[in-house]
Amino acid sequence: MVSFEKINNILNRVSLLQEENAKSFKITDEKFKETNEKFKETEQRFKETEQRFKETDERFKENVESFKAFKEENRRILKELSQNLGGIGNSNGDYAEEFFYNTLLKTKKLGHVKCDALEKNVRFSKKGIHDEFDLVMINGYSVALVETKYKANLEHLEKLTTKKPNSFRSLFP
Amino acid sequence: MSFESPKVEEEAKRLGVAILKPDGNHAEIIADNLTAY
Repeated sequence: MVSFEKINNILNRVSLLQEENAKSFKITDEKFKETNEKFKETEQRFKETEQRFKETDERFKENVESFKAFKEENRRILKELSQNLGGIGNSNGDYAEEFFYNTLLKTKKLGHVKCDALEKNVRFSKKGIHDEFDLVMINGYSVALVETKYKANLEHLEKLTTKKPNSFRSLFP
Repeated sequence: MSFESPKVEEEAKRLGVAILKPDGNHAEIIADNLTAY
């Protein structure tokens, strides 16, 4: 037979174990709560990071749009500038042609060679050959081809002594 | 109206090409050695 004292001891031990278990559960519960809080914090940080990513993405898109607009504006300015420069170049060319035309018209002389007629901007097309001569001076014996350049270089000279006389001869055999 | 380098003027003279340069309201014409092409 089990004595009353033994039963009482067992009950006391059970009660002690229950208390210890309760303490352990409480600690576990606290830890769960802490972990839960940490999860919440982490989740909050994720949300904040996601929001920042969104903001960065938006800024990046805005930058891309700004860059596109900037590039487009630069292209437009460059085109305009190029047209203006082309216009200045053409004006210089026109001015040079007009200046020498007027000068030669007065003298009708190239060195010791006299001419009877002087024409400017002479354009001809014949059998697939197209050419333009800035000034053409003619007398009964010879033709002088005058090319006006704002800044003459060696290539211009080469063209004036080869291509230009050849195409003139082809157009006027 | 002007030359990219003095070489161009020298070459023009060598080739017998007349050179016309603006000189005030007139043109200075260098055509001492004209060559027919």
